[in-house]
Amino acid sequence: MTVLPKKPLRTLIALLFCTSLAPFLLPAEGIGVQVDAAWYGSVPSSMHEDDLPVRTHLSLGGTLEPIIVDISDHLSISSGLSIRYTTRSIPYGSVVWSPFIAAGPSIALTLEVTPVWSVSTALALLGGIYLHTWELAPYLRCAITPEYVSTPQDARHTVAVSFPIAADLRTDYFALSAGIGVRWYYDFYQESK
Amino acid sequence: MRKALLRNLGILLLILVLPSCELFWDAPETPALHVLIVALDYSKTEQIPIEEDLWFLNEIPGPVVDAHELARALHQLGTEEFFDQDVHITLMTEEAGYTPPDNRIPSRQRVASRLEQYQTEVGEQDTFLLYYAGHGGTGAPMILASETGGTLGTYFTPDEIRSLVSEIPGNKAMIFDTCHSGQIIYDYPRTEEAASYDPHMFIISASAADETSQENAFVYTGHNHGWFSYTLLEALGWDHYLPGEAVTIDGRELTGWGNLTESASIPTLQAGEILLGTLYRYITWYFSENNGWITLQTPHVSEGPTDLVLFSDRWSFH
Repeated sequence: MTVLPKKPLRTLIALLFCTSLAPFLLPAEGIGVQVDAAWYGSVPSSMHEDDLPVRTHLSLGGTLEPIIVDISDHLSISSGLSIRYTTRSIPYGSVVWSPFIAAGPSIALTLEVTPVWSVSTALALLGGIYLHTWELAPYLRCAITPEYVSTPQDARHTVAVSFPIAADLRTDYFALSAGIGVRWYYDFYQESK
Repeated sequence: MRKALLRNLGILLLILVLPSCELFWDAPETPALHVLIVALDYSKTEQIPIEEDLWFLNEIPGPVVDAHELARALHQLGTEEFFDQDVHITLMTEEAGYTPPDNRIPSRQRVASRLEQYQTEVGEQDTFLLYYAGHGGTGAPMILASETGGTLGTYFTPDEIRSLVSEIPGNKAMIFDTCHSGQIIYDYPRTEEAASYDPHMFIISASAADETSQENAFVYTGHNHGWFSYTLLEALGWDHYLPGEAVTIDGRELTGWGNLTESASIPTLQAGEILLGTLYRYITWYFSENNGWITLQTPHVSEGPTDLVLFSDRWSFH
């Protein structure tokens, strides 16, 4: 009983998928890994007639970024695979919001604002699966992530503390999340610059 | 500036986390579980007219055993030994060798009447569970007894039964162990436009709309069951091999095989709760792991992001 997304969403899915492949056409200049833990609030829509305006979960996840391409000195684009696990909501009443896992391609644009601060915006198309029904529920994740770089700039290895804030857009409800994480990335050419 | 940025980010995180309503809102009242169990062995009801056809109904011993054991299991789960919850069970059965009181005959009119009574008995915070075991056909997921004591049965259509249950306040669950039971599950709409969607209704069916539900003699347990209900009982921690204790439920003394032992042996008990979705997942896992039966009979569940808590140690009375 899997429901296919509507045509505009299908177009967006195709576009995002193609865009996420674009960095693979360019010479990679780095790779990265980001992991985070986040507060996750499901916001029920009116059709759910929920007792609460927000259902609270814990969400754990990350992104593997096999391709990072520098567009300019301060701007880079990366693409990768995002994976998330979101717990079931905190018990309240006799209804809980189910846990789910999700995975899918993502693309991110990172702007270096100062030598220690940067901001990354990302889009990910995730295939979510509710663990109680194994029902597929695709959604679009839009994230903005301030990052605080905690290692010297001239090193190949860079570790940053990240503060991802994301909105998950589904056809039936949306969710917001905010958390803290770590991003490590490796620059192939840092020393030769 | 760096400190200010970090502080502002910390404040932003705090603002986002604070709306965790579950932590700050008053907890709702403890829900009672109201259960209506309907089961027929077709020892009296022999035929059913559906549209222009007359179908013959073979006698099946499993549903009544399923019903009795489920009633005893739910009753036991409500006791202080387990969840200490308020569980009210009504039994409407047709079974060989037993004559039920008039208001417990499982005919269309009497079941409808009992469901209408629940509209006033069930509170907004409560949960209602309808369990049905018996024959089912396309367009007739509940094949019931005659109103007049004859051999010609009656039935509900999927829309009729959903509509009757929808009228009951609170959260509702339906579990159907019958052929073609998948027809009572409607698609989750995924948009806010669907007016027919009932977010308080949770359903598990023993099979898809175009499948039969198998019944078999479980020789090793010494008594009959439907495959689905046998597994449902196991999911609740029911040990089929233990001799049961006599309990009085809905004015009847029920005895037979099977018993619960302890909370630790309930396979679906997670974080102190038994959820409907967890029962479904256990059943599908059991089918695929133990019998390969899932290829012939596929249990289904209503979709959507929510799940129903049937029992919880948060709700203990004492």
